[in-house]
Amino acid sequence: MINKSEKWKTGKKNLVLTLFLVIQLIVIPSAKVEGEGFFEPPALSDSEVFEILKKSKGKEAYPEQHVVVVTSRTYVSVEESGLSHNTERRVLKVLDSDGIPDASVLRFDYDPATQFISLKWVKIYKADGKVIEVDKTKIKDLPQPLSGIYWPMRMKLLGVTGLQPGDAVAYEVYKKGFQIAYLMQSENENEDEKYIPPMKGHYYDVFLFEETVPVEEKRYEIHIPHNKPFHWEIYNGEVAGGHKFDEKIDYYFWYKKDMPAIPDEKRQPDRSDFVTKLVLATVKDWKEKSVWFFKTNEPMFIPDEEIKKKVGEIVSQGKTDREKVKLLLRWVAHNIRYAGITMGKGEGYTLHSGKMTFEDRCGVCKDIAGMLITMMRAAGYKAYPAMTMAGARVENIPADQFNHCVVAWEKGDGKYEMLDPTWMPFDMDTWSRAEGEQDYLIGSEKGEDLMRTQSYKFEDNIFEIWGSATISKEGNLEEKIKIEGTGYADTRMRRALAYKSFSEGRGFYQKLLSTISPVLKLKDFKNSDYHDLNKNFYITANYSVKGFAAIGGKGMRFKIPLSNPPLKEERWSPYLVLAPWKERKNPAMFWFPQMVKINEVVKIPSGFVAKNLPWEKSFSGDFVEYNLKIEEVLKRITYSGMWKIKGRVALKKDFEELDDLVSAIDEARGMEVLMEIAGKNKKEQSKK
Amino acid sequence: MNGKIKKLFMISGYIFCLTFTYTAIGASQDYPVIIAENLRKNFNTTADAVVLQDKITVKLLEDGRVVENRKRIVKLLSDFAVDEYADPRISFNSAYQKLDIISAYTVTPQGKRVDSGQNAKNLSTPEEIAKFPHFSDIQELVVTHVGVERGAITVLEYEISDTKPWRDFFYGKEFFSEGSDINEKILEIRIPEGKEIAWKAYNFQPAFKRTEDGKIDVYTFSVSNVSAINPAEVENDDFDADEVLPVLFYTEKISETGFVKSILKNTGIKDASFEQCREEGKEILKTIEKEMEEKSDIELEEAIWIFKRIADKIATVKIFRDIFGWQLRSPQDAFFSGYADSLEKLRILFCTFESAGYETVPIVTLKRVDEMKLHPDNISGFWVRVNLKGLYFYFPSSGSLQGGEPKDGESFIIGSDGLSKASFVSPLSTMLKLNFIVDLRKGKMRFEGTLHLRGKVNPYWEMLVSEKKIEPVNIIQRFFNNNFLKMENVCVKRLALDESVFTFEGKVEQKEGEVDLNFGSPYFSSNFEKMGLFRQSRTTPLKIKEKETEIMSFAVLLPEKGEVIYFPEKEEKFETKGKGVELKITKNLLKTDGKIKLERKLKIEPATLTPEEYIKFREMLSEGFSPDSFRIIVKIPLE
Repeated sequence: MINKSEKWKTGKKNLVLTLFLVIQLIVIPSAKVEGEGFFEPPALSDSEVFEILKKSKGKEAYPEQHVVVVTSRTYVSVEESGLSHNTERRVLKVLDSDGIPDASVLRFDYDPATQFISLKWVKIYKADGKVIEVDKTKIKDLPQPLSGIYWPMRMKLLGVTGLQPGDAVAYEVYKKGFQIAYLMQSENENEDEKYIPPMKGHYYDVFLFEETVPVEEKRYEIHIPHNKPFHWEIYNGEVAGGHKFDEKIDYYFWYKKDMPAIPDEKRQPDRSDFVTKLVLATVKDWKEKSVWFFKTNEPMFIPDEEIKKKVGEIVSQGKTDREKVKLLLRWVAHNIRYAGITMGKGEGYTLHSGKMTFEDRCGVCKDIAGMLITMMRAAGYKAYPAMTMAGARVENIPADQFNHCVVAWEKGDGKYEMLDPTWMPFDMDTWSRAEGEQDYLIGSEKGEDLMRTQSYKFEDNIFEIWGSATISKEGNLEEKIKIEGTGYADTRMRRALAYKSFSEGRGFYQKLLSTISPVLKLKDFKNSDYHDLNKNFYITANYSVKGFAAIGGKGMRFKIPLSNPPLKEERWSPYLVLAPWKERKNPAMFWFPQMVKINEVVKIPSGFVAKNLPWEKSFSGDFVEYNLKIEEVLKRITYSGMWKIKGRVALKKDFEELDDLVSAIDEARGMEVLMEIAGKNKKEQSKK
Repeated sequence: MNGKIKKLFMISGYIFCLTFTYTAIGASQDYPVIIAENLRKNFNTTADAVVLQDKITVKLLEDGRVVENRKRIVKLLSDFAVDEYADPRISFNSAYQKLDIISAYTVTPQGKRVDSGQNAKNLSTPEEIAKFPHFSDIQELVVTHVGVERGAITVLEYEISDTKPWRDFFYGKEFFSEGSDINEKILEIRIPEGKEIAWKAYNFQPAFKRTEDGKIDVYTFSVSNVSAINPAEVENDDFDADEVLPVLFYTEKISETGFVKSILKNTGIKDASFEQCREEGKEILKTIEKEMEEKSDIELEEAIWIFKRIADKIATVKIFRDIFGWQLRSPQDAFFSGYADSLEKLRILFCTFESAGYETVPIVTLKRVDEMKLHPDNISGFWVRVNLKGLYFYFPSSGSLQGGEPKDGESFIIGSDGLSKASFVSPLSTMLKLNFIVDLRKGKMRFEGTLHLRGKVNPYWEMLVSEKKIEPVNIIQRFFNNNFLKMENVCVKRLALDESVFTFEGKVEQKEGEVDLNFGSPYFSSNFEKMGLFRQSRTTPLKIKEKETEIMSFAVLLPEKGEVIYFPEKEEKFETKGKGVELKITKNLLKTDGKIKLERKLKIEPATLTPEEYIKFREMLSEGFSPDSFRIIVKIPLE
């Protein structure tokens, strides 16, 4: 039976009564308890694995899949200190030869600073009934591939050889501690001390059920002391579960069966936004977490003389507080590059000291935020670190659901203004318009609740294109265009040059313009200074296309040059690039709502008159609105195109509207303007 | 960036590789004069960075070990350079080499030296091999330059040294251009007296001198003031950077049999180890045959399935084999691991086909046949030739499903006597020929045509290896798709390796009394983006590898009293010819005959175009591009 839980807030007794509308009890296997809270999961025998495999479905049930997770069981036991022991047992079956590479290598990432990991056993269950134990001595302990964040993270890698379709790989992996370190450690640490979470005594987890391949059974079980009540809730789906307890320990379990594959799709939000998930945490409330975050990081923001001197130089350029803060933010955004090196103990959620970042001129988001806080404080402002989750929701359970760090500026009136120096390079704002409706938690002395940033509107982010074209009587096109961005559209346009080499940046815009015609000859290309953050960024281009219009028979025919707008870049207009939408399964993260405005005037040789104009298409829906119009105005052909994408995340219900927009743009692109010779027309008409 | 470009832009130790230890030494506060001189200097360049000095010293020791020392001093001019060039990666083989960082520091525009501490030197497993445990001795050290900003100068000096002799012979290569301007680059190769190396510079002329330093012969190559190239051009183009960029190859002399033994591991040679190879092949074959039995929904020739299972369904590891010392796993070990590189796949294919009773010949393709023929970096690919019922089939070990014979360089059969030239009966170039008749006369309104396809557009191979049926109509529609022409019957007249021929016929439909016969741009030129032709100009040469011919001709029989509304009003004959391209368009409107004839012939010829020639090439190709230049609109009279 499937139950959806109610969130528990007040106490364990309430929890027992209200967690499940229908509780499906299981017999808790005899648990071997070592010390406080340690739970040794019951062994998984070979015959049990074969029994599970026997019930498992084959290729015919999953014609498009190559592997299936037959079972995945996670057992967690939490000690009084918050130290957690996590055992995962997993059986993966190979459905066909395409699945062999996927199942042939097992990789387990870990952070040696905060986590212990041990691969207990790995076995191959052959389709013919044989069991082969994989030699564990062949496990390699290697550095993880690093990019951008250069911390000494490790991985265990093991090759599983000899797999054939029908075989299964099963393993048990044991982990102790946390994947991400965010702890300040004591000097006298014992062996396990470094694995205890920084919020000592507390535990949290976010557990996802569906995977990119089918899962026939997935289970999560937690064993936790009585005195550690926790909040939990299931999101994005339903699971079954139950609860039992003895004198010391509470046992909870949740499971789900027969889950289809949910493959990743381009530009999706974090999977935690749309697959079934369990979120749990023992922390009382957000305020407790906020206070802890504040206390952990407060010593990091002390400026030294060098920083104070730099701050003095920067703020002297501004008059108002807003101007001064903006100047500081811009300095940090453009002078602290994104490259993370470790500070050793405490790396993770502990921000680097301002002094260290100032010297290194690099860091990850938390260090960049820490630099701004240090500089703002040096300038006399109240600033605090804040955790946020870019690209996904934070559910209202005080578990760590954060992937990004920003700055909260406490104004005189007690209100906060959010600042994000990491996302601000080549951005005119102080908070990115791609970070609307984003949950965050400020670390402050008094403690804060979870808050959410404002939502942005389509009119906050505009791509505007102007075109002035002339078609000669030979059918050749000459055109001058200007593309200007506002809001996050401006940012995207700047970064297309700033984040690329000089030649690649030019190539980028040439490729965009080639949508007008692949063979256009660019006569001139200019861009405004992308470093100038006080004016909107724009590019201008002047080009020609030979034989653009078809001239023959009784007249001329051509397509509107900007009807295929030079916006087909996934980071700019993902709804154009990722179309069609009807087959898509997962939501799409556009990051910023936007509006596109196109105004084009095409001058044609005298003596021609349009035969099939005006042409117009328009629509207004919840997520999309558009109006595309081609008409003849004062002996010129004009194209005015406008569309609005009203949200930052497109859900399934919005896909039809997106497809409608794309087909309207396609229709405009395919629309051939027919021009006839005016005199001849008149003659013919007079004959009639 | 793909591997090719990484190879160009990473400060890599690919050539000479090493148990990992590193030490930072030399933390004095001073820095060389060259830095002081360039700290405040303005550079008149659009490049993102300027390599002030790049000095590489490669020492071959008496026992065959190699020590490579490199010092790079780079001035960062743009935001892009600060983001992209401040975390260089140094690759090495941790089983055989050690890496020492001699110095890594930044000099800020204000003249302050900031050293990269121990926490700024981090080991990483290259992403490309993170899923392949067997190859995980290959590691990268990421050195993070701290204190970096625009205008700063970074200095990195390191040494990679062999911990034990592990190479069969000494060789290497070095590019002499990159995405940044280079003020000075020096490669010094130091060889013990009595040993000789051969070298060859491609696409540039370095300054060269040979001197003696005691009992060491010193070969010095240098360039100065080299302009930046656009890495995206090389990255996007379908060719090897070796072929167009300034690159120096050098190698110790090796015989063909030595090359076959050391590098190709005697693959294909029926020596004492051959029986072992066959035995292992039998085991692999058993597995493949069992899978075939279970795949009842797929009807593929056994040989095709063997090829697909090995080349396509085992993950392909893309590594530079030299950093791995050219060691090979046994065919069985590699096959059952689920991943292999192209040379391992060659051996698996060879052993398995042999075990299955097919006459099999392993082939290596080489980029060039000159003094550097036996340089390992000269290898472009591996194939096996399999005799299937009297016909030769060529299977690439890389797994990419391409038809025909090896084209990527010159092909040699690997044999016990060395390499012998593989000769093909009919090397095929790519051709697309479409003949079309559209009959718009009263009571007809039909069309019919023939399509001949050769080379890379020939769908034979694709149809042969596809596990799902490909409908012939889908093949036709790749080359033209017109809303007015409804395809009714498509026949495969010939499906063969040399040429496939399709015939088709159908009904012509009219809309609002008109028929619009638009055959669009040439098929080969329509793929402008893949060819990178959206670029107005280039900084690197463009290499056109293959000959491609496209001939499209069609005739339209006009209805009586039918009116031609649109017919391209250009000269009747248009011809243009230049390096790499030839285009002919002929148009004929025979009003008396009630017939229209159009023919377009486009030839793309193999050529290497300089950046200047590229502009002309693009212009010429553009002439035939206009979609309206091959279009006719006819008004159909009311019945």
